Amino acid sequence: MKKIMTAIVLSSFALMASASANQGIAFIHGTGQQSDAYNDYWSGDFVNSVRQGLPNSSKYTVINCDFDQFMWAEAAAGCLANQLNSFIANENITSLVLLTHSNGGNVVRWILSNPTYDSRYPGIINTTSKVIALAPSSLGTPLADAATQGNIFESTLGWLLGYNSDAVKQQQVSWMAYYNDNWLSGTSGRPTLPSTFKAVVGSDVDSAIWDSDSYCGGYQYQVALETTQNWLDSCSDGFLECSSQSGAGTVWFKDKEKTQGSEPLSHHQSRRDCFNLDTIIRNDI
Amino acid sequence: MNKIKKISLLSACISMSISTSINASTLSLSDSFAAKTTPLIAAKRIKTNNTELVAISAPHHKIEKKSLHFSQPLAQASTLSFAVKPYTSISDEYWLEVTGKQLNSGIALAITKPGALIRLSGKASKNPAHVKSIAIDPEKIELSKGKQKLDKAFSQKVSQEQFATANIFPNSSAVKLEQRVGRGEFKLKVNQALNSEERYLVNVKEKGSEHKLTLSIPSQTLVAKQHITLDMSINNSKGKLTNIKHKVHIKTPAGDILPVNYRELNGKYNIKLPEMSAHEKYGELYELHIASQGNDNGLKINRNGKVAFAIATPTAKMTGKTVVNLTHATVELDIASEGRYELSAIVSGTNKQGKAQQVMLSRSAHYLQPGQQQVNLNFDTKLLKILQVHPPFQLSELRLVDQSRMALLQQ
Repeated sequence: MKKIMTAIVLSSFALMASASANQGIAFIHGTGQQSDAYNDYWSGDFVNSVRQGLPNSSKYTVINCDFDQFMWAEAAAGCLANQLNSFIANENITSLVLLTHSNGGNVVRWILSNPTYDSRYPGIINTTSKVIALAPSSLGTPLADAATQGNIFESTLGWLLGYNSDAVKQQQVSWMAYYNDNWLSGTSGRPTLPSTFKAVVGSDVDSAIWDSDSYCGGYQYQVALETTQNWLDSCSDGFLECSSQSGAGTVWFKDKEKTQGSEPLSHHQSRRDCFNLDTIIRNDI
Repeated sequence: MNKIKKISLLSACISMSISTSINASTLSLSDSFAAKTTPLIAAKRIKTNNTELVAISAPHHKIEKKSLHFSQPLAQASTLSFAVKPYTSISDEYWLEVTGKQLNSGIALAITKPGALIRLSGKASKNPAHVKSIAIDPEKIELSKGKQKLDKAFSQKVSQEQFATANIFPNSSAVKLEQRVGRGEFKLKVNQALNSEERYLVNVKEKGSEHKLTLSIPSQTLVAKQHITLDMSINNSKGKLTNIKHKVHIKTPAGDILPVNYRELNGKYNIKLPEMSAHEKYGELYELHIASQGNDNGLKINRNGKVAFAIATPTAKMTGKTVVNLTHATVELDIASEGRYELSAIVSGTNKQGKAQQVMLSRSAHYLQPGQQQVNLNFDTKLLKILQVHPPFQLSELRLVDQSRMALLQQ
C-alpha cells in the first residue's frame, strides 16, 4: 500500500512538473551543412505540424549546423550546443525535446555522452527531457564504407571519390563501433544516456512506380534508396539497416507498427509528413 | 607536425596504495569520515605496463579549460562493460581501381554469386590539372563470358543522376547482373569514350554470397609498434578455405599507406604495427585494410575488408596512487603533455543490507599542465543520498582519457 501511495505521489509530482515545465522542441538535421534546414532538410509542413504538439507551439527551433564534420567538431556539436543553449535561454525552456534525423542522432549522443568535454553541454543535458531519433545512424552504415572505398591519398595524385566528408567517414560501420565503445553512451554494454533516446525505425523502401506511396517526399529519392539496399540487410530504410537505427537507446516503434496504412518509411520519408509520422510525433510530445 | 619529446619512465606494477601527498581538505574530510566509520578505502589495483609517456604540444583546436564534473546513477542490474573487445568485420565484396583505358578495353571480374551488383565510380583528382572523370552510362556497359558477349546481362541499371539523389555515391553508376548469367569469370567493357587517364573504382558487391572474408582484430584501441594477432580467412558454407593469399596495409588518417608484413602461425597472423606518430586529426581513425584472393574448386574469389582502430598516444598515466573520500577520489597522474584529461569510475557504496553496491558513474575532467598532479574525481553527494548508500565508497573501472586528443589512455 505504501508503495502504491509513493507511486501515486511521484506520478502526480511528475505530472505537475511536466505541466509547469516550459517545453520546447529542436529539429536537428542529419549529415550535411545546413543554412536553411527548415526548407532544405525538413519541410515547413512537417515542422509546423509537429510543433502543434507543444503547449506553446512557438517554442521551437530548427538547427542549422555543419554536420559534414565529425560529431565532436566545433562546427558540429559546438554549433549545436550554441544554438540549443541560445534557444533554452531566450525561450526559458525547462523541458527540451530533441527531434533528430539520421546522423543528427549521433551529434546529440556525443553531447549527452560527454558531459565533461565542454561546459556548454551540461545545461543541455539537464534540460533535455527526451530525444526522438528518426532513423538514427547509431551503428553506422555499410553505405558509408562503400562511399569511401578507394579513397587513399596518393602523394602525387590524390584522387578522391566525392562526398568524402568527415561525417561519412565517421558513419562507417567499424568507425561507429569504435566511437560507440569508447566515446558514446546508449549502446549495449555502455552507460545509459542521461535522457530517453527513442528511435523510429524505417524498415523498407517502396519504389513501385504504380504505388502512390512511393511518391511521398519525392519519387526520385525512392529509386536511389531501393538501389542502395543492395549494400544493406533485408530490413533497411535504404540508407541504414534496422539494426543500426535500433542500436542506441530504445526503439519507440518500427514504421509499419504505427504509420498510416502500415507503410514503411524510407530514409528520406522519415523527415517528411508521410503516412502520419508528423501526427504520431506531435501526439507524443 | 607536433613537436615530440619522449620521456622515459620507470615501469610500474602499481598495487593498492594510499596517497601520502593528498591535500589538506582531503585529509580533513578523510579524518572526519574515518572517525565515524572505517579507514580510507583505496581504489582497486590499477594495471599499468611499461609506459613511455610522450610529450606533445598542446592541442591547437578549441578545447574546454574549465574543470567539469558529472555523475549519473546506474541501474541496479547494470551490465556495463568497459573491457577491451575484439572487432570482426565480414565482407562479401571487393573493389579495384582501373583507368578509363582499361575499362574501354575490358577488365576481368570474378563473380561468386549470381545477381552481383557492380558499381563504377569516377574519381576526382585533387590536382586541378587532371581531368575529371566522366560518369559512366550504364547503357554503355557490356559483359562477356569467354569470347561470348552476353545479351540482356543486367536486371537493373542505375544512372549517375539516380544515384546522386541518395547523396551517397556521387559520379557513380551501377548494373546488377541477371541471375541467369551465373558466376565465374567475366569481362566488363565500357563502350563509351573515356579519357585514358581517368580513374575509376570498380566495386563488386555480392550480397548473400557464401564466400565471405572475415577479419578480426583483438581491440580497436592500439598503440604504435604493438604486436597484434589477426584472424583473416575466406569461408564458404562448409568452412574456412585454404591457400588464401592476403595483402595487408594500414591507411593513416592523412590517407597515407603503410605496408604491413605478417607472419602466419597456426592459422593466425601476427603483425607488428608500424611507427605512427600523433596526428593533427584528433579522433580520426586508422584503418587496417586487407585484400584477399582464393579459389574454391576452380571458382576465383576476391575480397576486400577493413577495420578501423585508434592509435593512442600515451600523453599521461595514473601512477596508481588513489584515495577515496566521502565526496571525491584523488587520483595521482603523471602528465607528459598539456591537455584536457577525464577520470571516470563506477562508484560503489554500502547499501542497507551492508553489501557493496555499484550506484553511480562519476566523471571529472580538468585541463592539466605537465608534471605530477593530484586530480579530483568528484562524486555527486546528493545522488549518493538519494540512492541510499553509505561509506565506505569504492571505485571500479577507473579510466583515464585524453579528451584533447580523443585517446583512451588507461583503464
